[in-house]
Amino acid sequence: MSARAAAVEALRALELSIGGAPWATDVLRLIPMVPPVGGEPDPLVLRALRFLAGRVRALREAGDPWLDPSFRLFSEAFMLSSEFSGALARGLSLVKPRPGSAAVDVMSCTGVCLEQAAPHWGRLIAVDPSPLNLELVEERLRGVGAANFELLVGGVDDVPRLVREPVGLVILASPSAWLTDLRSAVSRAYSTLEPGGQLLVVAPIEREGLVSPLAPFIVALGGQAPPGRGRFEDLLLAEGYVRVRFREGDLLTAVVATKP
Amino acid sequence: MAARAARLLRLRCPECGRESDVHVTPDTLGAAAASPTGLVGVADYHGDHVMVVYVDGEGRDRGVRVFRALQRGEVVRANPTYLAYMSNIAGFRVASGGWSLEGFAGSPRALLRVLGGGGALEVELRDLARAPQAAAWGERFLEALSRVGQPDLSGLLLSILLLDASMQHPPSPFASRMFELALNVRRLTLRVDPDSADLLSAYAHRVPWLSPRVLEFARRVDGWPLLRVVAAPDPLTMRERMATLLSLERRGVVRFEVTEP
Repeated sequence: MSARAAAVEALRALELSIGGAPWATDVLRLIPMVPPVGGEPDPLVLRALRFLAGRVRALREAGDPWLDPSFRLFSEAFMLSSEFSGALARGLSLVKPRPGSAAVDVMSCTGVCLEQAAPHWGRLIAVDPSPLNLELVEERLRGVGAANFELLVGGVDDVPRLVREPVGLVILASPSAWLTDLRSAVSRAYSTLEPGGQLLVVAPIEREGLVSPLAPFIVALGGQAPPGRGRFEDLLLAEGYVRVRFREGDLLTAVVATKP
Repeated sequence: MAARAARLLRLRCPECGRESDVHVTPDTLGAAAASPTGLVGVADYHGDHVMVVYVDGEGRDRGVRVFRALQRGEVVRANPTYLAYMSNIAGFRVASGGWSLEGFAGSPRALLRVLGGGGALEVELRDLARAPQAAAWGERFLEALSRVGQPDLSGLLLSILLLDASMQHPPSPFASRMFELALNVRRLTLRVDPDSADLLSAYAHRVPWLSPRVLEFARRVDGWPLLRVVAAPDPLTMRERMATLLSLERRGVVRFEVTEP
């Protein structure tokens, strides 16, 4: 099953749904740049992205897609796919849990990342601008028996103010996080991390020159096309991170960087 | 002064025709005698409406009204049979905006008092060990009450049942939404988004507290009044249904449409 094949196939639905929108030009320009791919589409990724394609116009026009229940539903479906879970697991395997320290999930959305991190971290913090997203995080964390967690209402820029004590891990992985300004997000994460703490990013980061089939969806929702691998590495190094490691999957890449 | 004896009134509800036994306790007789009007209302919960019987200091039936919303100056007591549904709360009093609703089986030994949002909640607990959680849930209830404004009697009584069923665990910071929904229960109709339900059914087995059967249930009750959807024989089941509906609402699978009763 290929998540990439699913994303490429779902682009047809996206193309059909945005025709005529004043912002469609940038999206329609990107779609032909996505390389074709073979293989059996991953059914959950395909369903989730087709659902998103059907709602993208309304989400874009309402602004702040992460506040909308449809985006929440899409995100949860996508984050429970084996592609996302696999990328997250590969990223978490590169992170060294620090006893007594906390893991923060920024733009936590549905809480899938914290659920997966829960067995290794004593304290979990979800930061999200939507209280309803945080309700979902709570639902999920209680479901796995996690008790030591905090739910904080805020966006990327609020993280240093909301998270008072330095933390061992900052996660930027949910589809809502892809819609934020990555430069600003990694910078805020840096100031939140303790020395030796790590940043984990899961995103559709491609090798330089390639366009991810998720990029048109991100642009359609009002975000920026994700940077290539080289540019993202430069961004992390310029911020002061060291030991930047990439683990590529079919559609998503996990990136782990350390604050010295 | 001789102690007043309890009485049992058998009445037919003018709204639904249901025959109800309304217990008039010695406390109720005392409250009627002490009231400036000489009457006190005893509320019997019938789901989407509440039948209130007015009794005098002798325990005589002085009129029946079907209530929807509490009015300023209204003092209503719940029929003691209502208390039998609850496992943590032995008695309660809610007061806000000049009205009050209470239900006690006798004289309370100790009352936990919670204040907030211009309202007050007093609860007699069966087990005082539950007091910290009862207080925390009570705060959420009062938060919701202050946002809802003029409350609906059946919504208030449903909220007290939910309060009783929720005390096992501490509340989340967002628990007041459950009470907001309950307090508005008579005005809301459930609507299901079929596309969202289809997507959720593809992965519902991987979501805590949900299952594909919940989606079947939601599709079946599409268009039902919320009160009919949450109606259940016990508060725990009502609470479970409410929690499930809120979980579906967060995902956009259901929404609650305001329809005037």
